[in-house]
Amino acid sequence: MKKLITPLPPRWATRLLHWFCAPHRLDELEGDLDELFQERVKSVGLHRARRRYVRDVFSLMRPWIIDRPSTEYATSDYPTLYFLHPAMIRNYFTVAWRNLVRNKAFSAINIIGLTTGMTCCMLLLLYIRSELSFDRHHEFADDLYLVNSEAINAGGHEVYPKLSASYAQALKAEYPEVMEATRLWVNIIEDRTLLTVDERGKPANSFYETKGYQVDSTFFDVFSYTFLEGDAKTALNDPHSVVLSEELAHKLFGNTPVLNKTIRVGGTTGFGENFKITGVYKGEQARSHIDARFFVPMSVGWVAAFIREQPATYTGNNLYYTYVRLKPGTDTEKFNRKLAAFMNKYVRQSLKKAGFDKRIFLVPVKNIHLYSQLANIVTATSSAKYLYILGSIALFTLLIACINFMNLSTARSAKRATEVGVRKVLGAGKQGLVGQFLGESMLLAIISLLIASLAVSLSLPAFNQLTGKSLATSELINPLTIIAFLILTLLTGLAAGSYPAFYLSVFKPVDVIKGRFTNQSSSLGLRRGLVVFQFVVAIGLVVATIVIRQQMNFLRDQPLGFVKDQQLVVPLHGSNYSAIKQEMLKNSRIAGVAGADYYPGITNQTNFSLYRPDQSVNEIQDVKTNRVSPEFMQVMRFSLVAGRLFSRDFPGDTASRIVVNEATLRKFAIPLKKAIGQKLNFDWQGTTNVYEIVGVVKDFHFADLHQSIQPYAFHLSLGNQFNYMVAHIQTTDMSDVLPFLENRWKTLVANEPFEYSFLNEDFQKNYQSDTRTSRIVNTFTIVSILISCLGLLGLAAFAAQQRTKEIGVRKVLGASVTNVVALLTKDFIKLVLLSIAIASPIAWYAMNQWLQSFAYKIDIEWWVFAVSGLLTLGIALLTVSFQSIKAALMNPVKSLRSE
Amino acid sequence: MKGTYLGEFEEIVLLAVAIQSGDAYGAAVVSEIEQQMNRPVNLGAVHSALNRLQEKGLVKSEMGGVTSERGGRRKRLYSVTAYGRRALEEIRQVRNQMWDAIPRTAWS
Repeated sequence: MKKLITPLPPRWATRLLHWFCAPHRLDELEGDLDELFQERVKSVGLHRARRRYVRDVFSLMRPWIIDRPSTEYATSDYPTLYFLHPAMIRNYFTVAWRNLVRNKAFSAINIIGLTTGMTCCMLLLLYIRSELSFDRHHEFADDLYLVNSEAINAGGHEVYPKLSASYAQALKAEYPEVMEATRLWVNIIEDRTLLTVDERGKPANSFYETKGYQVDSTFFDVFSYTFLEGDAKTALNDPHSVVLSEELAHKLFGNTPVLNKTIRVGGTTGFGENFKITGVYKGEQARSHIDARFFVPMSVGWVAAFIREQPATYTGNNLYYTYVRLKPGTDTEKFNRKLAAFMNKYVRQSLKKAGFDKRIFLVPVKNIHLYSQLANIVTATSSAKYLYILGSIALFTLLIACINFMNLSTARSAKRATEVGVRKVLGAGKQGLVGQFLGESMLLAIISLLIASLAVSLSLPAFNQLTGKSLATSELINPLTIIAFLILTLLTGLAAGSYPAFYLSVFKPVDVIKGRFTNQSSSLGLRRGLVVFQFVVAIGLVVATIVIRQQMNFLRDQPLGFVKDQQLVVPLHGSNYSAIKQEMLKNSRIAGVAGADYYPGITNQTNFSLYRPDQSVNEIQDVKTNRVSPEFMQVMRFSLVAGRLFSRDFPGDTASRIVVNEATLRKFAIPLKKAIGQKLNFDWQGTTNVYEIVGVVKDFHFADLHQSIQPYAFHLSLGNQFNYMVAHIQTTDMSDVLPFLENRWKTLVANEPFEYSFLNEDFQKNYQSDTRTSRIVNTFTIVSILISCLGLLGLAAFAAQQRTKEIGVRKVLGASVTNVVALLTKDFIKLVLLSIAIASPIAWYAMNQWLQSFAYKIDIEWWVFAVSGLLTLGIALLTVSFQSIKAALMNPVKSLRSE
Repeated sequence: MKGTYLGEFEEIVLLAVAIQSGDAYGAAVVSEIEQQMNRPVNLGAVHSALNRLQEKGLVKSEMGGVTSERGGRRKRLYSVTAYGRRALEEIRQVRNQMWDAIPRTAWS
């Protein structure tokens, strides 16, 4: 007999069907498939039948077939997804609310903890978001680039973000990809500009403003600014026009429209002429590495004259930030390679003469703030590194609060176990219980969110002070921010509630109701682990706080090579130096007065490219220079190593005499003995200027201590014009010196406001970003320790409560209060000690990394860890002992009578 | 519940169920449509349509008994409800009305 072979459909397709299809549907569907298959084998052949079979299986992948439980066929009386039913969800929240109200202490600890954690997290998220938004708002943000340069000579290579004036036009002419090019000039001669408002019928008002930049008229075609008044397209066309930021407009004119009003722009920017306000832009939200208060066209002032008088060059006068906007979709890599040809065509020849090589390349503008790590950029940039630090602090604070919740919930599980048991007996499923516990944590998270939102908007001014940001409450209402916070809440609720939910929901009702339930050791272990984790974070932060503080103190107390205390700095801006000096010296408390273009602590922008007469031009070295009055070095107390300082006793001292620091001698390989009388050459505009060294001062820190000491030279000026005046005050009590100075100033310089600063404070400003980090870390350290301790407080209270009877019995049997306190605190102390052991190496590594960014730094000493540990231990002990002592002092009669 | 609007494919499936009168199930409907319309039809599409028709109350279904065919697997048997029949009749009536409304000159 012939054997009958039944044709079979592809087995994998059948399996696939079994996998996705709901069981109660399987029978009919597989039957249909099979029947059709057998039919088709006869009609169209095995091969095509199999293909059709597979197609049919895939066509069956539909939600209602995949959905396992359907209301119609579920085996139980209840829909299987009943625990997601709105009525149930409402019930979870009702029960959660009752639980919250019933356990006030527990709820308070959790809400305080979560609120604090969320507030920190939200604040830091706002901060991080604002940092990430730098230069992202420009319409062409993706196509904007800064043209950066790298100079290569025998001594190495130096990246420098400024170029000569000629590049912008040449780049635009040479490459069709360059849609627009624009230059920006930061006033190197003075960093403050005097603005005067002289409205009819009102007294004239003057302000010194920093961050006023001069830009090409194409600037607003490249960078997008939202104009509140005026038109961005034409705003800078007229040389005597000025564009203000909203804040500055408010400061100068209050809440009135300012378009077409005039202000006087002083200094080298405007030479005291009238400028018409042609625009006001929204400054607050436009976060940019160009942190401008106002813009003035490049076609006026000192810089316009300078450009006019200078021969067009591609090598020297690297004073201008040059930005390009490329055609969308230009391959930057390719374009960068093309730039070599540009250098060959335009720059190579003059470079050869100057004796060094140079290449230019593009840096995306949107990366400048966080990722480029460029020095000398328009506004000091930040680093993504700080964001990581702050981000992890945000995460940790919230995590610590969540851990508190988990710990307290599991600790209280014994109490709730009975409830869980009863619910289970009455038919609650695991999902229902999970839902209930998650409902509780969600409710807590939502309450915390509401309080935290309030706290954030209230603490924003303080936070701004702390971080030096200007975040506005309005930014909270941004939809993205709101979504982020809602997600944060959801995650917090889930993270905080997940463990208790899944832990409590698996209790066996029989055990619980029979009273066989005890706190399982596994949960105890976990709880301890979490406490240790909290304290590792807390101790780590304490170590960080101490190390950062030490380093800051170290920087402050580091001998700088001059006297920085009691030095008063007054910006002069071309005012009559000699007259003011004479007036000032009339006050007996003012020991000395001197003029200079720069003083240590502010950026020194000028340098000479010097070479020894026996060297070739190719061996030039850059030396920072400062034009000073003869008294300057005496007033600043620089210490002399060789030769002499400038003095009015030497009438021969002229502008061609210099006093250098030791680093300069090292750079030019001049031995100290031969230094005096040694000459250095400086080629400038075709002539060679010769400078003679008359003195050598000990190395001093003219810049902050992130940087090592560079060559520096003072050259003498007997003139009457300096940028700054430094006065040494003989007393720390400035209360009568300052009014005296202001009074004198007003009679001598009627049209300029009297401004001053203290040199030590100015110097300290260089560490602003470090101080800021230090303060943020400080604050959040305190916060996270507080939250940790809040958790400990809860745990201790719980432990004491749980052992009430034990304590009662012990007391009756003669235990002293000390014994009982020791009994209760012993466990916690062990945990904190373990945390110290774990945290120390981690903290040491992290802080060591941070210290690497300083040229001068402290060593981390062992006692830092000891102090951090003891401090944390002390705080923890204080927290725990509060509860323990309360428990120990309780009358045993009370606790024992209940049974 | 979804609207009572009947899609073209749903109408065809409903008609096929009616044709099979009492013995309509997934595979049978597929075969019927394929024969009548001479076009391949996906089983998933048919089951989806049947499901939708049931949700709209145009057909009802019950599980058939075990037979030795189909490897002993049960069928889900569909039948047109009274409401379904009325829906079909209404559609037909509307179509007829529209046919009648075509002026003769339209074809010339």
